[in-house]
Amino acid sequence: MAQAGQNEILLEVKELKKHFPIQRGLLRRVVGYVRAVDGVSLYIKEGEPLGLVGESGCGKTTTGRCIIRLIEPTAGTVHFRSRLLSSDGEPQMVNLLELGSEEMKMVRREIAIVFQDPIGSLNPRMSVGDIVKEPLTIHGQGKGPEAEERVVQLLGAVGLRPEHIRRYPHEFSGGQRQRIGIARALALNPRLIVCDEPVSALDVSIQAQTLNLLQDLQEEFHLTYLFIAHDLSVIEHISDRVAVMYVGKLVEMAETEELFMNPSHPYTEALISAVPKPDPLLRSERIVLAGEVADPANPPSGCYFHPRCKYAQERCKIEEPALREVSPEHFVSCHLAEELQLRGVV
Amino acid sequence: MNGNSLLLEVKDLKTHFFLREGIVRAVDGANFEIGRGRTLGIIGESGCGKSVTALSILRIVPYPGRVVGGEILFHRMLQGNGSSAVTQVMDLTALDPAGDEIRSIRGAEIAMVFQEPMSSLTPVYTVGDQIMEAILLHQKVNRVEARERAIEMLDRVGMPKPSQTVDSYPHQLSGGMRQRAMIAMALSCNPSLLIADEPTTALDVTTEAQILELMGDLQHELGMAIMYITHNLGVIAEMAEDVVVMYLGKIVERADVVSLFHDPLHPYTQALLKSIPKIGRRSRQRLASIEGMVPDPYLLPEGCLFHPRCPEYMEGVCDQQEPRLLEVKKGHWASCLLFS
Repeated sequence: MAQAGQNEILLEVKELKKHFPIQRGLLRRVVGYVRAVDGVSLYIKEGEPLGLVGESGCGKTTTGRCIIRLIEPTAGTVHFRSRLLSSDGEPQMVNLLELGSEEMKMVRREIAIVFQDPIGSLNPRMSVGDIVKEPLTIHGQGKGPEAEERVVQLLGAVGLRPEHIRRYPHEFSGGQRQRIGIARALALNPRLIVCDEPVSALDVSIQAQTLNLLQDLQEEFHLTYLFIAHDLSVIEHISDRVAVMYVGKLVEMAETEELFMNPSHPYTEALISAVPKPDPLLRSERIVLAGEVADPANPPSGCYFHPRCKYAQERCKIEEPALREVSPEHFVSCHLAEELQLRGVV
Repeated sequence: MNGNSLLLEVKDLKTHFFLREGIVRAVDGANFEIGRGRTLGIIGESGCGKSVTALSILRIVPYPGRVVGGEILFHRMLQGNGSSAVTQVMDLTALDPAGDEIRSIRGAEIAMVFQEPMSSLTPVYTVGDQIMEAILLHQKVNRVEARERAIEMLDRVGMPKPSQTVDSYPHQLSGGMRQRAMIAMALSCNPSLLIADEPTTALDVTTEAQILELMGDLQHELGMAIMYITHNLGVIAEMAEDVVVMYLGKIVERADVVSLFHDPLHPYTQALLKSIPKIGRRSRQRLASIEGMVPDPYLLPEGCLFHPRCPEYMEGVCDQQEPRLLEVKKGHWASCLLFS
């Protein structure tokens, strides 16, 4: 998968924040904030699938949506190496959060999204052909025989047949619906696709087909993925690098193998150990975390993970750890990263 | 706990749904047994009939479904424990689904934990009331004692501050806590069989680990048998002793957990095991996926139901003959024409 320009950074997110206000009472006064995303910094290199993993409510979906501004972030920057917005044809880093609506519309040709719910994300009143063509229509390419041809070609790329064009979403199974969503995302030749839990609603055998399809498409069209999922084995399978989130913050980011073999954050260690392994001879000692995920509206002091962390010290309760590079391309936000000997995949 | 004695035998169970479009054979000839105190895993993809099997055992198959054939023999412990125990064998399929007898078993001797802890608890009663309902129905206690027992159960399933949570409503609890309340309710009458239908599918991995550990501990303590229904091969590998694999209403393979994972016989089981990404075995390779998809229940293929997707398909054999579940190796059953 070594391609030219692979090391170019395609997307760089810095200190991204999204605080949702909590409103109470008759006057809808703001009484607090849910810190869904609270200072996330990450980068994705061109042609690389980056996995973003975390438990429900950790802010991974919000992060994905903030990047393409389906949700307006509260603070931070999102730099994207855009081709369409450059004057001289050379890709140029632009801050998406500063773009006007016309410019943002241009960039949305380069960044697409595949949603989790293959039922909720397809309009039941539109035929499959219209669903896949809609992005073309919006960008003024939806007329004439070329558009029809493009739709057939897109359906072919995701393994659907031309006669499916006139059918409606309810006539398809979950796996096929997800293929329709993927075809729609590919319509405008994007460079980055945000995949938000694309396989979590699918059965095991269909999940494998969809993962294979996503991998094939990535190689064929030189795509870059931000792959959001809660399933660590899926993340490990598809990603080159992995970022782990906990309560709105990034706790660890490293190359896939490094992260799974050599985790440096206690939360990553617990996550890896909690995954049920499909081998009865490997019934290992699981690390069972006590308590529950912290409330993002009322997070604990210091390190958000300290109430559940078995290595926590006095310092962890007071001081918030910053994300720092402990070894090349391995970022951790834990005070004790250097001292701890954590267990990876056995 | 007598590991060898039988608790439940399912013999040629058939549960069909009679719809306007045709008959859906959700369960079509299931055979398996569960020993007292054992853990059986039932695995399969959506629509394979694993949940309907569970509902058939409890006789709560929703209309227009009906148990149309077979037997479900429940070895009911009447008194005492161990070798002095007297058991009575009852055929659950012969009971009236709304009769007194099945109602005295349902929720007491055979209890169930459902997948979705939000929709299987009613939002208008406190979790305490809901646990007490089961206790008051099956045990001769008054409300005060029932409440005490509910608090004790909540404590046992690891609910923080049980004497306060007993008065909370389901929406005030997190997903993991709701599932704990469900388990407390199911275990409140000391069942001899607990059916857990995808108990952790809606939960996060770290919560899932908590719940699985809790269920394992409680099984040790209380000695009940558990029937785990799930599509997650990892959960089965960690929890089950015996495994049944279902495909389109039929059992395709049955074995102990180690044989099933290390020496699977049926091509469907083999393909299923190959199609999951395994943590720690990262390779850039593609996953071995099963071609095609589960066929339409109204248009089932002739012969072996798996033959259109099977890599070992034998023309003229698999599309004509229907395989039977045969004991291929000792204790290892498979329903495939490769072995007949």
